[in-house]
Amino acid sequence: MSKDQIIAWLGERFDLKRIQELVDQQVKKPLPKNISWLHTLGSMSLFLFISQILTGILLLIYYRPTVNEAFESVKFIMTKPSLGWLYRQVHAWGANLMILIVFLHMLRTFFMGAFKKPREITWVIGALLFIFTLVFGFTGYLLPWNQLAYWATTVGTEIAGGIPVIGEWTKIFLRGGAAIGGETLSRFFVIHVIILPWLVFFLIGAHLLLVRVQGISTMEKVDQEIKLKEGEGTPFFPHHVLKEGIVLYLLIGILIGLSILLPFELGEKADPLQTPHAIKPEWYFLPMYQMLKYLPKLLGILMLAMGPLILIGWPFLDKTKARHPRQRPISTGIGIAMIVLLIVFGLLGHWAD
Amino acid sequence: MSKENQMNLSQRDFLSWLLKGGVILTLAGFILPAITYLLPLTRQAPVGGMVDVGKKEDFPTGAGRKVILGGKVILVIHLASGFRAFSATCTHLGCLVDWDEKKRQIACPCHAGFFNSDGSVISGPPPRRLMAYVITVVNGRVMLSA
Repeated sequence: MSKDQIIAWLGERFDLKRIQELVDQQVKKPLPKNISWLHTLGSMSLFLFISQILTGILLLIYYRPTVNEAFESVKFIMTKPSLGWLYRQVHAWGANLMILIVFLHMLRTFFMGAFKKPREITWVIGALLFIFTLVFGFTGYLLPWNQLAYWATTVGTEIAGGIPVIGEWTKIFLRGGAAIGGETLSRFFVIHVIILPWLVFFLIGAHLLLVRVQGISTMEKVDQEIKLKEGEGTPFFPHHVLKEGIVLYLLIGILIGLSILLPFELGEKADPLQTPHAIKPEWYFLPMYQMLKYLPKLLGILMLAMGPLILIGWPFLDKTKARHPRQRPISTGIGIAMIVLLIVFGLLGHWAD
Repeated sequence: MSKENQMNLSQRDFLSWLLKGGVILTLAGFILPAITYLLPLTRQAPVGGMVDVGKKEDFPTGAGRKVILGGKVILVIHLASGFRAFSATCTHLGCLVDWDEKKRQIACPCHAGFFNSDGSVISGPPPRRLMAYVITVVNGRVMLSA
């Protein structure tokens, strides 16, 4: 069967001309001139998500989510099957990089004022995606069932227990019982490999659809954006696609490089009778964890709960027209203050005993 | 077409092939290792020498019992003349055979294949005799050579 025959066969069943038009429209769609390397952070997040899905599927082939087998099966993956160690390391490093890149993507959007009208919903979905990325990290961390994972999850779910009225119930619901055990592992496993991937998949779909329909934001003030005509601006293909290709290959290099040079250790199998010394959460939860130490329990948890809400609702709090960071000093100031706070608390947490 | 145009065209073709080749190489570089990762680990650790499979009293005279050795099922039969051991995997389609004490023969439950107590085929579809293992009794322990 030749290529022409296949096209003819499809042509009798679908309106190929219309489909070709739609594809061309998307491919040739001009992007504004201000598109930069920073605008590849979004596609980098997407690449990392795809990488997590693919390596995650490979890990699932040998992983077993039970108290007796989880640790041994991860150990098996890291020692027995061909390149199993690499897939686990790329998955672990990919998770860390994904949180970092999604956060940077969000900072870019924040400082360039790209979240403002008409793109508020794109921001809301993006903020949800960031939060779900963190939940991905939290649930995935427990799955190897090692000492650090076990006790970090104990502490993490204990924090949820501090919420007034519903705290205790929430803690037991998350754990599937009074303590971390087989029930917790099952719950986290289902959230990590079934619920979150599909949720994030559809949210990414909606996010990208909005980006394509509304176009990339420029630095012009709200309601003063100029619609690009065909032939203006930078073409999506090949100019921007080439940039993304370069970034993709760099990212693959970084992922594999880090996996080889700085591998994550598996450590010891979880022991519910022995808390290891100086237990700390992963770096991305460290600033919040450290902040909790300085505040009364209730106030701290209230602030932790407010964080995501403010993040999601930011476009509705900051409704000024200017996009350029220098033309809106208050929100730029708040943004910088937040970054400084996160870094300071993160470092304090890192140095604390 | 001027000479310069021809140059440009071949340059463009070259770059296009370079890009396509790069993409194909990248995909192959991802897919081939993934396939080797998925290959089942059938190479078991080597089991050398004689392996203790139980006390002599665990195998009553006239009866047969199956033991697992290195992932394989082995049928041990205790006859009056001594011990015998065969692979319990039927040579026909891989079902597990059993020792029939009354008829003193090995029977496959799947397609009515029958074997002698020396492992040779009596009747039925099995194409070959059962593979035999060396079995001895040392100090009251039944030892099987892997």
